[in-house]
Amino acid sequence: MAIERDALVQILLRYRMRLTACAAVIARDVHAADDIYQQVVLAALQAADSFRDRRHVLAWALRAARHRAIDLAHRRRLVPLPDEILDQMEADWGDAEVSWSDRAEALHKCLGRVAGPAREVLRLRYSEGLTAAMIAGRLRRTTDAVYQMLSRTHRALRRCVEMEMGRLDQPAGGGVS
Amino acid sequence: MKDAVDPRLTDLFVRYWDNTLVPAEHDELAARLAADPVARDEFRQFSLQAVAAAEAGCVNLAAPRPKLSRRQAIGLAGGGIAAGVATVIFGRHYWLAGDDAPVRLTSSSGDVRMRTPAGESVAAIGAMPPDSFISTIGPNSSAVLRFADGSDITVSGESVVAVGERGRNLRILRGAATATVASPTRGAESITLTTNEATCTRLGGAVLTLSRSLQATEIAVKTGRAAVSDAAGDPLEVVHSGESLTVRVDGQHRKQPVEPVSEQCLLTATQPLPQGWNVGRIETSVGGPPAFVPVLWFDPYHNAPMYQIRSDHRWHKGFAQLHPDSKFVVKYWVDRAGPSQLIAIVRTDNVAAPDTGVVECNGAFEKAKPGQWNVLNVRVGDMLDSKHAPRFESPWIAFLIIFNTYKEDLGLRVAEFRVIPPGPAA
Repeated sequence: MAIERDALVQILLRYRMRLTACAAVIARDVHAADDIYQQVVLAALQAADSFRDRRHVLAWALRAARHRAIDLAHRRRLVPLPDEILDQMEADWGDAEVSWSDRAEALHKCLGRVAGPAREVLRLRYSEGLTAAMIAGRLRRTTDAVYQMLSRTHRALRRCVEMEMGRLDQPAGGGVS
Repeated sequence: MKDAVDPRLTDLFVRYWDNTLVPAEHDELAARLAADPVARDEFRQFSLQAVAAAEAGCVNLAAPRPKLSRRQAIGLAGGGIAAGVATVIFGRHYWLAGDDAPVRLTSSSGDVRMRTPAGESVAAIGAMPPDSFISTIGPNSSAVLRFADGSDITVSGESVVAVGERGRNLRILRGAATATVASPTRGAESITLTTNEATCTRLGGAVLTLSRSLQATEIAVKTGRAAVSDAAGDPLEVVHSGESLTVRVDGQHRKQPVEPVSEQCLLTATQPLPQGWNVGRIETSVGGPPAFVPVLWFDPYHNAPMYQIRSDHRWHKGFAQLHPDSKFVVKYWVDRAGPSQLIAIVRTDNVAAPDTGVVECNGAFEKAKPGQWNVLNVRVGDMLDSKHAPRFESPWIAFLIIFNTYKEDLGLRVAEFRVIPPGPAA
């Protein structure tokens, strides 16, 4: 039985974060990934009658987002990950039973605790889309220093999310820097 | 505490995202991801962090978000990430700085949102805190930013821009912006305009429009000139008055003259959809001409899914120059008649002016004969009976065309759309 269009929109909204991330990790541009997500939603609405269920929608949308992101990556001359890796990651993203809502909420809490230069570097890298070299020029640091700061911040966020989710035996509420 | 995350993996991730891995590192990353499900999971977590960081701008989002928020709805509608994160606070904007702020939002119309680095968003004019975002939502929304050197930048349509470098740089993340750059004063550098694909410098005294789509950046110079460099900072072209430069995401670029906006226009579905076409598709049926057909999408103005055809956004090129006696002629088909609109969003004939208006024919296809080709012939002067009608004199430059059948799929097919200039019929 086909899915109603309103239900289809609800499903795609529910999976928005992972669809955007799926495209972003290939295109390496969150704003472009957001555009791709919107294209996928429009394409899904055009093909609404052909979807069987929630899993089918997610699998189709992940594949559509991936193809669009790969096209963009080619145009931008980005070195892609091998297809077999993208296949594996697509399968990982496609587990419809895994809920990301708790994780996303924890992540937003942790992002709120990022402070100082780490916060600025994250913003410049992912909100403004500047490369590490451009950030280095703007902040008068070396490119390697920017890479190190980004790398540390990603690890700190990862630890913070784990703590928030109670997976590590550590008190929550610390800063992330 | 033991570091649960492999530092090498984050090092590889941040440089993979920057496309600066050397081949050996790329192979190392691929091998790790292929062999280790935990590494793949970490990699996906980092990409989620990037998305969340971009959306949040690293603001404090400690409060839980609703499952289906206005942000998501706007995001779906194309309002953009920066707009999406915004929670509009209608009230006094307590963050207002003094008159010496490097950038001020001096006027706005429609749905305009400013998001500060601290996450506040306001729907009001005033000084822009450093590194703020402005988003305009909806086709007839616009905002004017005044820079400290006297330059004005108009942001219009579905656009998102960021102000950086202490008010010396405007970054266009999506949509279109028109800059009227002040003449340089001694020793002072004029502002710069950037997108992912291009940077415009040496703009003193210039009037130019930048528009950014997923595939390219287009720079059109009305007066003055602009030195344009690519994403790596290498010079591309100097664009002079009356010229436009298109820089694609792959770095290819093309310069050409800007044509004046014609008084007539013809859109048919015999050609592929123009690059950047917003909503709708072309459908070919047996025995009939190819036609534009609507698709269901989330209209940010009505805040509801609707069946629409929406053209690309041609702020500086325009579709046609309209006068009250211009006519829209539409060859169309409907399976059944019903509520419907034909809309043209228009600007003034000064590309740098932010004013916009709506020319609309309500009930456009209500009197159609179902199941056959019909022709709608309507005079522009008869499409001005709405509160959004242009409040400026003609000529009006139509830069966005919309066909709307609201929540009903009437089976609309538009084979041909024409603008006929005033004057005797040929």
